[in-house]
Amino acid sequence: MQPTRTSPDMPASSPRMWRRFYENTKGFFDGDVFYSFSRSPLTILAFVITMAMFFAAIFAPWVAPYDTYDLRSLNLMDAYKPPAWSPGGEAEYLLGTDDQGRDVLSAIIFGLRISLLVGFSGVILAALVGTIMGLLSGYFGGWIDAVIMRIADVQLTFPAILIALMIDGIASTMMSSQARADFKIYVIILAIAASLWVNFARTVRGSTLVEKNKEYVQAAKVIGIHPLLIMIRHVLPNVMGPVLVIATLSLAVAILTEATLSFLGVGVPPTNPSLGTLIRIGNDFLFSGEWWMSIFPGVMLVILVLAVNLLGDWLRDALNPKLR
Amino acid sequence: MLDFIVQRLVQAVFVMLTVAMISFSLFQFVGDPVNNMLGPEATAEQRLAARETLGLNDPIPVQFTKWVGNAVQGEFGQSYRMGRPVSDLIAQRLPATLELVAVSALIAVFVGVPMGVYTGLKRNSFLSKIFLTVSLIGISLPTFLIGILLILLFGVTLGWLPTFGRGGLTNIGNWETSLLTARGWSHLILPAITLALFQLTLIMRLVRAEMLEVLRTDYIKFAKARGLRQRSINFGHALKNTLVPVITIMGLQIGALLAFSIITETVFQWPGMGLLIIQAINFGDIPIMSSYLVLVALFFVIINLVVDLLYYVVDPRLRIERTAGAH
Repeated sequence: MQPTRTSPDMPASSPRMWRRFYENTKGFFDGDVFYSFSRSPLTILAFVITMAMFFAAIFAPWVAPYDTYDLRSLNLMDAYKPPAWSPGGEAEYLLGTDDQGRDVLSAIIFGLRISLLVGFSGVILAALVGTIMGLLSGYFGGWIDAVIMRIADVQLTFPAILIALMIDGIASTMMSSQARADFKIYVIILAIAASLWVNFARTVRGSTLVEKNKEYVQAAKVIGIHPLLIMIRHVLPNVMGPVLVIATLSLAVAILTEATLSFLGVGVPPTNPSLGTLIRIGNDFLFSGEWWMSIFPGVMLVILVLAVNLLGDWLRDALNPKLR
Repeated sequence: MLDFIVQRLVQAVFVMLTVAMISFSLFQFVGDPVNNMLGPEATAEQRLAARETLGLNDPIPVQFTKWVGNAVQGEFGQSYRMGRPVSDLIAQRLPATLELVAVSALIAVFVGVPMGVYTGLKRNSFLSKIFLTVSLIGISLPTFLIGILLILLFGVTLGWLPTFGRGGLTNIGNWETSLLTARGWSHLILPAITLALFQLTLIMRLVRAEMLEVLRTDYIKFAKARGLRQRSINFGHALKNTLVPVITIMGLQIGALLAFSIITETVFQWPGMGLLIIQAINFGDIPIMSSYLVLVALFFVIINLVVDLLYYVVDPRLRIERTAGAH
């Protein structure tokens, strides 16, 4: 499974639009936002940590000391080894080994890969669906707006984790157990996206309502440009700021949701364990004193989510003109 | 006021019907329940008879109406896995979850609000900075990890508190409560703290943000200029005006507590509804899943209604505007 590199998720369009997008982004980084970034050591630290984790996840086969997918490398004689610095630990296994002799550090790096893959895919899907829904809802208004926003209202009353759990439950009753193991990861991505799209839709709708009445949109309408083109080429670039903020904060939520689902045993299957799965497996050994199996993946998860949250908080403040 | 309540009630009925439809459609996803109930040896006549008695030959809208009619009376059918009426199972598990959620909500409010007020008033004190740092970590810590850490600390390392299940139960009618004995509380306290921590940090951060906002307003400056006592400014004027958003979030969070209780109950093997639903999801036990969905939706709708009504209690402006609009 190749990790997908994420680019700003824009619908395919003309090269001109991309050039303009590039120019917008260029100005963006020369301006206030980058300045506020360079002035906040905590944000820089969060950024470095996040990037380091992305790097480790993408290049996991090269970064990790052992390939945990390669069953031949596992040796049951090496099972239950504590971390290297405690008595009985070995330098080869920095963070110890699990019940099957798997290196915990390597398992964490490969788990990070799954967690980030699921988190990113879920957020991108949610952002795509939510942005489209928000644009349609805000631009056209009327019954389209009414229907989309009523759905959003109903869904917003339920917490993300419950929606994801229910979608997962429905999917598992519909599929055979083999299909379940194969498609589980897609079900989780879908479940996460379904629980997150509302935030995007509501925000984009709000911004679209504001943009819709501005002169440039009115002018574009008068020239007779197709509404879809107006939405994609004129409104969309101007509502991307909030989308970026929500996407960052949603990534933290998505990673936590995935970890929680996996911990509950309804998430990604143990054949390719995510951080949540690792914590669940390690949890069974907590009482017998092998704390490292669950605590280290847990610490990794918290650091990742904390760093992403810090980045999101900073981005929200940096893009908020009120606080400048 | 009245048309507002009616409008909200209509919305609530709409939500409940939507959820009921989703819950009902769950049954369409699984195979023929007759096969499950009669086994492979049944004859074709027996199957037909069973289909007739179960009402499976009726058109879907008729089935849906019947199902809603039964649900309103608390009849959700039999659990596929345990062969007992779902209503019995839920009635048995409900007290455990409700007690857990109630205690957690109380902890979150009665610790979170004072902490928020304190960090809002004494923005630069050392203690405030500690609270804020801890709250940032608290928001990034998943519920299940908090549970694991608490178990590790108080259960395994210190050995002070039990780490799973309920204990020290007293029966009051059909309600098994753990609130009346010290042992019951010792079982309850770790799960309750686990569940409360996230909401606590959320409430604290919200109250702090609102306090900072309110303290900047002119009427607070005016109150200071009038020479009112600091206490009455802080609590009578400032805190009171932060309550509207805080109540909204709390309402939503009680719902979230119900959802997160699934996780806490799994970590601590707390025999409530959350554990029931996780098992049901793993086994594809549709009647339990659908009835849980309906029940949780009902809780949410009721909480939202109560929150909307509470606005009127805390915000006099709403009352005035509505009456002014009516004239």
